Amino acid sequence: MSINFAAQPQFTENSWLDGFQLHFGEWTKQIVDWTDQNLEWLIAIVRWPFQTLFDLLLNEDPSRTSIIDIPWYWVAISFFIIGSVARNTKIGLMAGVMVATCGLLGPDYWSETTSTFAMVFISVLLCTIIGIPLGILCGRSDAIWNVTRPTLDAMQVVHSFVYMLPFIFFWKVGEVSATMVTMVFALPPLVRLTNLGIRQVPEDVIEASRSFGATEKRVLTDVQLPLARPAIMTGLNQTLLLAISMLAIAALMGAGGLGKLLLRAISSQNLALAASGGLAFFLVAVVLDRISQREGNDGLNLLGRIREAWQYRKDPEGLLAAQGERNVTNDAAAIVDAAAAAQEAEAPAPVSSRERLGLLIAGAASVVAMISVLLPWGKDSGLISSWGRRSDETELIGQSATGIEASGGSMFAVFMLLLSAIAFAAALRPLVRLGDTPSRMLNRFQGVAFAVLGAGAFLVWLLNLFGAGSGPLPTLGLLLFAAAFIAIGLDTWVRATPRAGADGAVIAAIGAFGAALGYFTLRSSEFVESYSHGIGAMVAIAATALAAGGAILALTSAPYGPRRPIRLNVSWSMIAGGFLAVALIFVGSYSAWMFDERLDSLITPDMQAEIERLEAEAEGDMGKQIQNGQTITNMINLAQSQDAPMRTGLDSDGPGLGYPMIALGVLGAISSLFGAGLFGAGEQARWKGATITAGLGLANIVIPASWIFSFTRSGEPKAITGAGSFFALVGGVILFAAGRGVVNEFRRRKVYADMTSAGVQMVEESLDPSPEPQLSEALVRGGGAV
Amino acid sequence: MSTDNSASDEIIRLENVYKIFGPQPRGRALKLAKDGLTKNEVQAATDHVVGMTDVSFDVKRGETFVLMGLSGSGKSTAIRTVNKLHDITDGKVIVDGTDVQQLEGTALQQFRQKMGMVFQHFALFPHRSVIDNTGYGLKVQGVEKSERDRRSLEALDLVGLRAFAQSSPSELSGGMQQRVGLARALASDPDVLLMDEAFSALDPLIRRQMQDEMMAIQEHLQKTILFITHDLNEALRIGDRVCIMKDGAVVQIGTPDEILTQPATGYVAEFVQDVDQGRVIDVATIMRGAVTIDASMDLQAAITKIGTNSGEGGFVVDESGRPTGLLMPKDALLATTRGNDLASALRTDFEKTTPTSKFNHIYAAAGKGLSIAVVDDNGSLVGALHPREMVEEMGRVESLIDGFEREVFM
Repeated sequence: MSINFAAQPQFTENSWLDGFQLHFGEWTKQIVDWTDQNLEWLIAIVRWPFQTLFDLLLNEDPSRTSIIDIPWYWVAISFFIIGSVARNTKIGLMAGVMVATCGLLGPDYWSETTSTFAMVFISVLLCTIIGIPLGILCGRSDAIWNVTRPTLDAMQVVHSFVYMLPFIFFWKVGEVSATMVTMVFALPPLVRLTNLGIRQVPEDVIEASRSFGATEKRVLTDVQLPLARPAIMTGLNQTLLLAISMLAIAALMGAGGLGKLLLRAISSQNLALAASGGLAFFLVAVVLDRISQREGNDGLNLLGRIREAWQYRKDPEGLLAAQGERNVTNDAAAIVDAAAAAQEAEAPAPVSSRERLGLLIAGAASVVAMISVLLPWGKDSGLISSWGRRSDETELIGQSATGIEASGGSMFAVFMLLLSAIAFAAALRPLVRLGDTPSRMLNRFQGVAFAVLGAGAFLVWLLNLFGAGSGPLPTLGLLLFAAAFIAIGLDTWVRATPRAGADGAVIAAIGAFGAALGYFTLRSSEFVESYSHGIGAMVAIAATALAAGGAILALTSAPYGPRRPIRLNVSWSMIAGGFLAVALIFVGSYSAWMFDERLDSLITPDMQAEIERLEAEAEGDMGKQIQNGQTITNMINLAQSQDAPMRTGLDSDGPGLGYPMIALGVLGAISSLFGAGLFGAGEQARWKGATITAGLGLANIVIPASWIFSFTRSGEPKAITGAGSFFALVGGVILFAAGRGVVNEFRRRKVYADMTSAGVQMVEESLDPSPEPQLSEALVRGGGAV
Repeated sequence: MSTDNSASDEIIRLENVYKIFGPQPRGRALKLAKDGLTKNEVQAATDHVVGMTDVSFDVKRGETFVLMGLSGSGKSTAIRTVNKLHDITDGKVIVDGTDVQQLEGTALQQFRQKMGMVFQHFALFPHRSVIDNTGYGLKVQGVEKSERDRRSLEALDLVGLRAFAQSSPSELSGGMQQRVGLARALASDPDVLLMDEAFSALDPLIRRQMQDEMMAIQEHLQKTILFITHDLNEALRIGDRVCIMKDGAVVQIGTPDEILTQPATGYVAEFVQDVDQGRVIDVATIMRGAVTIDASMDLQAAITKIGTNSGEGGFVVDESGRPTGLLMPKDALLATTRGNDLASALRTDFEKTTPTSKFNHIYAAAGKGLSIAVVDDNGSLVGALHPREMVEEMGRVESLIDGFEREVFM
């Protein structure tokens, strides 16, 4: 056979290349194979710290305690304590609540959330152990940095899919290799920022330390590390954020956690699972991010910060510069606040007789409203509970239920109680003159109490971790939670924080009125034969209405002023917020508030009769029994495959909560026009409008929230709240936020020590009759008009 | 500033010190620098930066020695060789008999503990309170906390900042921060103070105040101070001796008076020309032995003794040497024509001064046109000064300075 040269491709053709092969892939495989076979000890050594940590925190061994076994409230409390210590009580509280919320999303969510925390903790811990010392070495030695920098570049440029496989090959699919891949991705910013932090320490400060004869170790611990701390903390936060963003990829490699849920949702195209999993993911990220941030660096939301972490992951100088720029504005705000605080040595403006009357009415009515939850709210059946629990529809004839019972006011009454308490505290605050002493005593007491409770909690937590049983755990946990709430509440009250006064009372009282109104207008389900409101519900709506009225009366004459000059032009964004909120509330009211997927709702009376007939027919006949049983199953399956009965917020056979929602929402939109300054730019008018907007927003939050949480409390599993209530809730949040933005700018005016008594007189006179006091700035200044 | 001459043995000595910055400092660059090439020439030829070239000076115990020069003149490098914050390339640095270059590790750290250093931008530790900043040197030495705080407070007392002991440095003004810097250097009672442009970052008024305070403290503590500045006025004001550096080399070393009245090069002259000479030149420079006459003398004999051409007068002194009267030639001549005696021709409204006074202290006295008596601390007459000679001296210095060829500064 002759060789056909013409068939050979010319070297100019692409196919010519196919005649050759460079066996790079084979070489790599041989190397990996050889390593795997001959360096087993090395692989085992590298594996050891990872495996040990996972065994300690996340084992499947039932005889040992794993982090998943820790009671949920202890985890939530731990986050509360960590957040409070690392940042402040507000962030601590937010962290605790958010962590607990993750567990409410469904059956598997709690264990997956805790294992997610454990995984992030393990990878960040190992990153810290490696990254900070390495960064310090790099910062002190150019030689090491010159070697390390290209390595870090490579780690960040190469996509994780590329190096995933070798890790899987050596350490098999699972948490260990997933953590390693996460670390490759998350480690570099920590090293870079530590290095940068060390290098940014001014040379003369280091020289100062050396010139006094300090050893190099001292120079490091006395000067370089303390001054590099902000940069190192930023690095830790970056590492954390990148570790979180790698969780989904880690799940691909067989790690557990929320990533696994997301992966399962993607493969089974389960939208509900994906959304809830995504929400849990988001909450975990927010919690970890907020508690690990530098003080005063809250200027950006989480998504912005993750984007920033990506954007600057190879440019730590740029990151610090960007954060510094944001901090400048934060610092400016802090200076304004500090200047305001410096001025606050003087007494708040005096309470006029009309304001006092209004506040007293609001306070007294709030007390009555609080007492009303102990009175019967419903008779003969449950009202809200009739929607979620069959037994409450018919089995309570002749009985009555108080406000806090699930069959009575349920969460409507609970929210009303909470908000009335806040309204009471806020209304009373301006009437009470406290010196500095209670505040100082409280602070000292708080510090000690938190320390003792925290230490006790940690001790018990440790005991529990090592399996010493959980005897006093639940009691201690609840005690700590209660102590925290009371302490924060008292502290807020004593320090007279900005909203402790007429505006806070208005917002809370309108919110409480919303809860009472919601319960009052709520219809029972169609299967309820007889229901009547108890005396408590009547008292509640009357008392909260009176409280709101009293608070508004106080509001009209309360001496408040903006803490810095507010812009005089119309705030179109606030108007837009108000109308967006109303639109959402409308959409929400017209959408589903409830899906009834319970079997007895799906089966119509006709079907029920047919089933009974078939069952009767099969009585005593074995063959018929199987055949008819099959028919019945088919019928039920068919019913379940059809759309479940749905009730909107406005349906005549629905709960009817859409009507109060729409009414309150429209009122809120109108008041937002005042708050935005559309009808004149007077500061007082805007403040009042915004306060009422915020209150109505809160009412619109409380109604759907009561609906949703009442189902969580007493609903059967297949009675599902609808997205309409969620939409309405979001609308309420937007309305509340629209009002709050303006309200936060206002503070109670101050009377200064250098004012003559005539000056005080002038203030009182001008405050009382006219809502627009035109006072000279020298006499009365808003909290911090600097 | 007065120096106690009995303790004037040397404490710091730099001998032919070279410092080259670059990857191979001991290579060709050092050789070229030793061959006498200038900083710019060496840099062009080898890409190495010459920090110091053939720098030699010595500092006596208890003296305030000022290194003066523009930025890049090597003065900051020089001060850092004294406590080995910089290694030198060639030469010797001897401090108190120790060859500093040979020190390593613990020995070096203990050596540094005998010195205190003050920095241009204060270099306080921002995360420590004022008292902890002040006590840092003592902490490094392992002094226990209570003792440390006691001595820190003493040091803060010296600079008048006791009340701010618990403040954070960021709460203090620049001048106050530098006082803390000074207190920190003084707290461990070092033999030597190294002050690197210590007052350069301060406002002019505060700078002057700090200089006064430092001189007052120095009067009391008698430390050896090696002071760096780029401000000649400051150098001449506080220095017992001044060393002027340019491009890593020493240009002139001398007392402020010498620098001003005998500038070695046009470079020094350029600096000096803006200096108010009256602030620097002291009476001792131009004072002469006083002509004394006896109160019992005949008027004619007295005229012969003081002479009439110079215009200078003669002093009558009492038994303890104090001047009691002045005979000016024109008074003597007037008395002669009127036939009066010596006693009637004597003046008592003459001015007195001391040898260490600066010219600017006696401008008003000189305005009278009378000879000025120079007296020592006991009031005894040690010399005389004629106003005309002051003007002549200042004119001489001025023309000397103007006589140098101007250099162009880069």
